[in-house]
Amino acid sequence: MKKINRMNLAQRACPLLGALLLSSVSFSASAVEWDAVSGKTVELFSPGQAGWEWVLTESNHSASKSVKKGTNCKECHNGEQPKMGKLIGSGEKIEPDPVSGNPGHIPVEVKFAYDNERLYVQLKWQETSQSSKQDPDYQAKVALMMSDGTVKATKIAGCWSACHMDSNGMPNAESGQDLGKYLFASRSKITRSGGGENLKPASDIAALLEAGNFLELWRAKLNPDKPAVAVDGYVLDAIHENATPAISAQSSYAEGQWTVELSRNLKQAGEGRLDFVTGNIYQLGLSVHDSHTDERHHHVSFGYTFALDSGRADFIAKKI
Amino acid sequence: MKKPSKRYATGSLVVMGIVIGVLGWGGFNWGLEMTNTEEFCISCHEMESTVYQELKETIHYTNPSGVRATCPDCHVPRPWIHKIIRKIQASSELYHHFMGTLDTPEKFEAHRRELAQHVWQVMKETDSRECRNCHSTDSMNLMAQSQRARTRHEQATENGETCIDCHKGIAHKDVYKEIQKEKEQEAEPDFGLDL
Repeated sequence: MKKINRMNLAQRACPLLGALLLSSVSFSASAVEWDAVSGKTVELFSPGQAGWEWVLTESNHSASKSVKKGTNCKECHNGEQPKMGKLIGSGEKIEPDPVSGNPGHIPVEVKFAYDNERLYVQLKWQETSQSSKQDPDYQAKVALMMSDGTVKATKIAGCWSACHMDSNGMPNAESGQDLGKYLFASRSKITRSGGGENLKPASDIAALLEAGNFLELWRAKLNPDKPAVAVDGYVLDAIHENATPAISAQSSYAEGQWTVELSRNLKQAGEGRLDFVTGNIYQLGLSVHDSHTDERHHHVSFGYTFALDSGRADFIAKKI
Repeated sequence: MKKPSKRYATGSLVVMGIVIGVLGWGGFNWGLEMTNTEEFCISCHEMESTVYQELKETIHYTNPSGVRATCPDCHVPRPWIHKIIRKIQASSELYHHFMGTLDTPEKFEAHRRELAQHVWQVMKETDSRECRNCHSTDSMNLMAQSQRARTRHEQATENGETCIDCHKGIAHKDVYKEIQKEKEQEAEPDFGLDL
């Protein structure tokens, strides 16, 4: 972090020098030698206004019955992300307000590692040239949502399990209402328009949280010339952000390429926090808000899995 | 034993019977096959101006392998007894042709959903028998299919589903989505809260 502060000073003192320095590494020293960790490329794509209820409705999505039976999106759609993203991102399908310059998909290289204390995730992607000023404060944002397997919908559909037709920016959002992500389990009734108003009693929500029925949320908000802003929390009845994040985030930006590292202790006290242990399979959804985009105008991954050290998962975190 | 005829020899009667039988049977089958062609089907403008034009835009009409499915390939059973039953049923189509039930595009559209649902129901009941005139899961090379098609075909086989369960509206204007949408609007969704 000190290195980033020095760069800020340099930039204030001499814009040219600052710009030159910005093109170099801006990470503080990472505990992980990432070059020695193998990763996989995940295709993130524009989801448009396709919330979880949309996915589960046959007239929208012919495989809705198959999804209800537990088929993960990737089983049918892996490899189709660029094509789907192009259709949606261009506004041809389920996106009434496309962002100019949206390529529809972003390939993101993802790596996992862990040591005796912490879990580390690295995301790397080439920025897009979308002309958006939806979020003037941050040039890019990344988010991870994770479950320990308790949330059935996340096993099937990753982030879609938390995205609903009445959430902000979605077709059934009520004007003046600020409704973000939530899980079906937190509602007493769900219609094809969502279930925002049908919140279960607080005691039920507390029981769900206790039972692990939540998604842990990690976010990093990014600008090239500033330290990454780390935010964490969980999704259940709504997004709950912790006043003091337990995660660390750092980023670098060079020639249009973002490299972001997020990490936290394997075990961390607090509500809505998972214990990361060997032998378990964790569900994972990723998103990137690139080029000042906001809300639904992000690029999202299907549901993936990761495990520490070994296991039948899409990503195996390397022990360091 | 009494002779069947005083005028004709028994042998001649047998030969005549065989000749008449062959001509009658052959003529019947010839007539049957004459009505079992695309040309015959689209000789009625109800078919020619609607569903046939729609078929021409689909992969069942033109495709890389050069195999064309014509009307009877999909809509007339090949096993003889089922073919005869279908032909008898088709007499009602003749009745409606002369009554002008579908003689304008507007009338056809008014009945399209009913007609389509009837065809889907029959195909479901026969385990998509006419689809299987050309297609079979045994001869599918799943590895040559897209991931989506492979997954869905594997699931369909496991679940005992039949072709028409998924492939509705593939050779003509698809009305399944709009029928389904109306059903969805009438009924509460069956989303499980554990999802």
